[in-house]
Amino acid sequence: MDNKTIKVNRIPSLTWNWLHMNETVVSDVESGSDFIIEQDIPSGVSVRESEISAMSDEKTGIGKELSDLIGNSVPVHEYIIEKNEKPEDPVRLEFNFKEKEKSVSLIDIYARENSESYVIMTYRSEKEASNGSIVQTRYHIAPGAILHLIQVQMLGSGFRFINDIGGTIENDGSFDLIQLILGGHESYYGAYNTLSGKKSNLNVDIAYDLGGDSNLDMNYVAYHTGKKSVCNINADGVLRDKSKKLFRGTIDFRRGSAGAKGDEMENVLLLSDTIGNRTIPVILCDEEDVEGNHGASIGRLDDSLMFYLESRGLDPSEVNEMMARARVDAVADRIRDSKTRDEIRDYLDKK
Amino acid sequence: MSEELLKVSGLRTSVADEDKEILHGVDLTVGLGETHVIMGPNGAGKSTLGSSIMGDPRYKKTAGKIVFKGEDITDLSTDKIAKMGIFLSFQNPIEVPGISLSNFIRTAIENKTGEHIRLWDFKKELEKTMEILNMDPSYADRDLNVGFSGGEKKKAEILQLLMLKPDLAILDETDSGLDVDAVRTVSKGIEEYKKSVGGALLIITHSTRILESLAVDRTHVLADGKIIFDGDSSVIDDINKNGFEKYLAKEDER
Amino acid sequence: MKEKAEVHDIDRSMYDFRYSEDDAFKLKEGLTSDIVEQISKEKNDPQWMADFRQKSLEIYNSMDVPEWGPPIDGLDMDHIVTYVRPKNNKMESDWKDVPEDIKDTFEKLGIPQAERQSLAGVGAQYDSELVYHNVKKEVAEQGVIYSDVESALHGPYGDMIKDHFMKLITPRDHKFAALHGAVWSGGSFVYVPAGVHVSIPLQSYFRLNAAGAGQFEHTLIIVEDGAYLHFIEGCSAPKYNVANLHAGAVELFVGKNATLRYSTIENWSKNMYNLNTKRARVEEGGKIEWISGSFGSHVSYLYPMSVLEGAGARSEFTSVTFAGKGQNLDTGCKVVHNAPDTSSYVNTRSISKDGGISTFRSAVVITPKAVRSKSSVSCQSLMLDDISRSDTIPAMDIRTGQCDVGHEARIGRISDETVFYLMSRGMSEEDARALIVSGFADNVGKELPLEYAVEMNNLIRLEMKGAIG
Repeated sequence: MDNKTIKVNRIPSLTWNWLHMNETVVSDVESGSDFIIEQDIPSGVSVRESEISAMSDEKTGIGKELSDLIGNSVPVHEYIIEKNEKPEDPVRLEFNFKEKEKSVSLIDIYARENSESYVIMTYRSEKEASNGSIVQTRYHIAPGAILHLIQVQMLGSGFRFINDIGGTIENDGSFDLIQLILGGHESYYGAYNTLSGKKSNLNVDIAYDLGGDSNLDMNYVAYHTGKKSVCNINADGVLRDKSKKLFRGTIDFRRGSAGAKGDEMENVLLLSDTIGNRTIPVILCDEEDVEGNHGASIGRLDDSLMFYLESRGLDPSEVNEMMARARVDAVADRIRDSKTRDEIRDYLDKK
Repeated sequence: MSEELLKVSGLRTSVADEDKEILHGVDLTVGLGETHVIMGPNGAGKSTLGSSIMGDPRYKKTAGKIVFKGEDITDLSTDKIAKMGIFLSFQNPIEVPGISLSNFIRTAIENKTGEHIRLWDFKKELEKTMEILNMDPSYADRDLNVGFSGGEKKKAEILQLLMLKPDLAILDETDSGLDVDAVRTVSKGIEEYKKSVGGALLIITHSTRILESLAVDRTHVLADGKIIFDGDSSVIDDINKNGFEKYLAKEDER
Repeated sequence: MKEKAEVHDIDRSMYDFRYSEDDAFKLKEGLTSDIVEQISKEKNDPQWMADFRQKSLEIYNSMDVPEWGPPIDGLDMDHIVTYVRPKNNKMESDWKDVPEDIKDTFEKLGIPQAERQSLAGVGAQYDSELVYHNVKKEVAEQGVIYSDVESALHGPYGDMIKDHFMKLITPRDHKFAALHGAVWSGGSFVYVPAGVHVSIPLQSYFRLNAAGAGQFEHTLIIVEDGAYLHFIEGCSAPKYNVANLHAGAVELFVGKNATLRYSTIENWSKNMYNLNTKRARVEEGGKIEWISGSFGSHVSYLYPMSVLEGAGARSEFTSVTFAGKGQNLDTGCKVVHNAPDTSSYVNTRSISKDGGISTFRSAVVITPKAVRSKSSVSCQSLMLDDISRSDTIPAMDIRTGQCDVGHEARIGRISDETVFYLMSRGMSEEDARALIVSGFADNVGKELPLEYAVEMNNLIRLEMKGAIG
């Protein structure tokens, strides 16, 4: 089996090498065997398996070196939400990773015209599991379709996990991505989203809560070519202990994307002196008639807020815990499926 | 005088980052269940006094002592002061995104008492209290103070006061910026506090509208960081009619 | 309308005039050990400096060009003349003694007038050497030293220069810092003794007259504890069809509780590769204030860096960059918080027009030592048409939880509503747009002394007119 060093999460616009933010080197990456996903498929959704992805040209956030490593070693699981179908129930894809197994999963999602669907991917393992698993999801959103993709990571404390996304959104299509990153030891997350359609829409909400010596490396791109395309990327998180995080976020307005808008916002609550927080929020603009905004707020809680909450009898660590939890809850509450919400709550309560 | 609840003696306070002294030696004693009013012109240090008692880290205490229920709380952290039973209603309540008003109050009560309260009991009491304050019940699920109007923020402060049931409530300009109806509602909340909790009140104000329906025990006039006059409730009417000049002039003669 | 008249009064030729360089002494093109040795001889370098130059050249040859910035393929070091000494070169302290056409150049740029009216001292460099240097008597009497680096090297401050020269920016920093180390010539040395407050600014002006030449001036400023200085740097060159190169270095040492304000209006011609390096080290309670306007050059790599080394040290960076036709300006700043209670504030504006490319690039680093530090970065970009480009690439690396870091970036265009509003009050579209852009750049404008603010607004008007006319 292949076992090699790859470069992942390369940012579209490079900057100084001494910052070590341009890309990340990951060694000993193994392409594993196909993973058996436990799934729940509502009517209106077809499932197929194929040898090669019809979307293999679609760029992903983690990048080409990962795709090359995986090659055609595992089959592609295809989920097709048929035209005009709007299933009430979500497509559930449950990844219950077994201790010490390496696996690779390739998922292709086709949201056909005017469909609306929820796909929930839940990643679980034993508490202390130390696997190396890869999940790569490609999507195609046809005109007028809406795809809500929810990915909840509740992996064990020794886990190395690579979660990669790439796809295209056509006219009036919408991709709504919710990601919670609550466990794992080393997590690599990427998403490369092409907004090619007129009035195509991308919404990304990320929440993470990292502790111990865990490490999260992210690369999100909104590549706007469609007129009046809109993206919103929000990343909220908490860093504790010796945890480290690197967030790369790029909004790329290509020439022709007139009327496009892009917003990116990052909030990081720092709860220890030994964290490492790196952020590189990029706006690239090759078109006049666009609006791009980025904001970041990184640090401790505001003094006046702390005083206010303390004045109601909460001690500083309680205030920090409460505010940390609120960040994750705010994103979790956007998940419509109560079963998933409850599971997240239980996981956090036990943590 | 009834049993002593709060005793401030010789309190001097400066802004933490600078050496600018704001309170130049304040003495003040509040007895159990009493209602005191602190009046004074703008910039006298009224809000600083309230914040300092509560242990606001923006101010440092350079001299003096604050004793509450017989314990020295001068250097105590804010949360411990709150747990001992002092409540400060903020002039500008802080917006706290992500925490609903209802969850917050429940957490604060559980923290104070150290006991779990049943959700059902809590909800019933919260609803009842919100009704007294003419608060739309939907506010319970909204994030604490986020997007609240000035009036709703003040009502949310009084709601917390009624739910947390402190022994001493310091109300900092709770009536400022409110219309007549809102002042009436807030006053009703304060009366309810006196009636059901029976705690003491220290009301910081430069107007008197909020005091109309309250039985005031003592009135203190604070000017330029010092208490320059102590009197009974008649002082309020006098200031209302004649302003502060008389008291300030007295200070000059001294 | 008065505004209108002003637009027409300004002409690029104001900066584009040039004089013959026949009488000047030039080294041959290219960069070799022999050429570097010749520069050492020309400048009568002490041995340590001659060695330093050779060492820097070695480093230069061993380093790669950066892969992340604007392309610099058009720059061929084999065709750059690294040293051009103006004719009859002597450094004068009276404009009367400066050769006629060189004096005329600086007259046209308004330097002697500014010196009389509002400056404490002036240094004027023409190609590779200083041609004029003077400091007001009362400032000199306070113990302030303002001279060229070469004479200071041989004078009583020689050891001080040896201790500081390229210690903050070392030749290993990047390829063009190494180049600078090898061929540097000219520039300024300023020393402000402890507690001295220099109430009016000092200015250095750099003029590159020779085609295909490089300018490599070195500015070394030491502001001792509790002192204050405002230093202004200006530069321009006539436009040629061949590439010119500017690879200066600015090293600033700000003592405890001292303040240094460093203002630059950069207006190199549009055939210039401006690969300049600027850095300040700030001690306890000290403050560096960077004010920077970048209007010229074909390609710029410019990121003044503040190293906050002492507790409570502060950095403020205010800049505007205007990239017009044929320009690719990559500008921004770097801040390293390396002590407790340090703070930094960055406020930048970029404008892109007529196919120009502007990139804001920054790095804010907060080390584990820098507890209770604060940093706030705000960058705004304005796109004036749909053939230009504007990128924002800010990076933050935070290694302590005890800090507050805020960042905001905004990119957009002039709103049609605003233009309409101004036009409804009788302004032409051209004037309305020029006014809006001037207002946009006001973060820098209001920090500059009046005459420089006026010059900057003229440059903006010039650029705005360029497109429509």
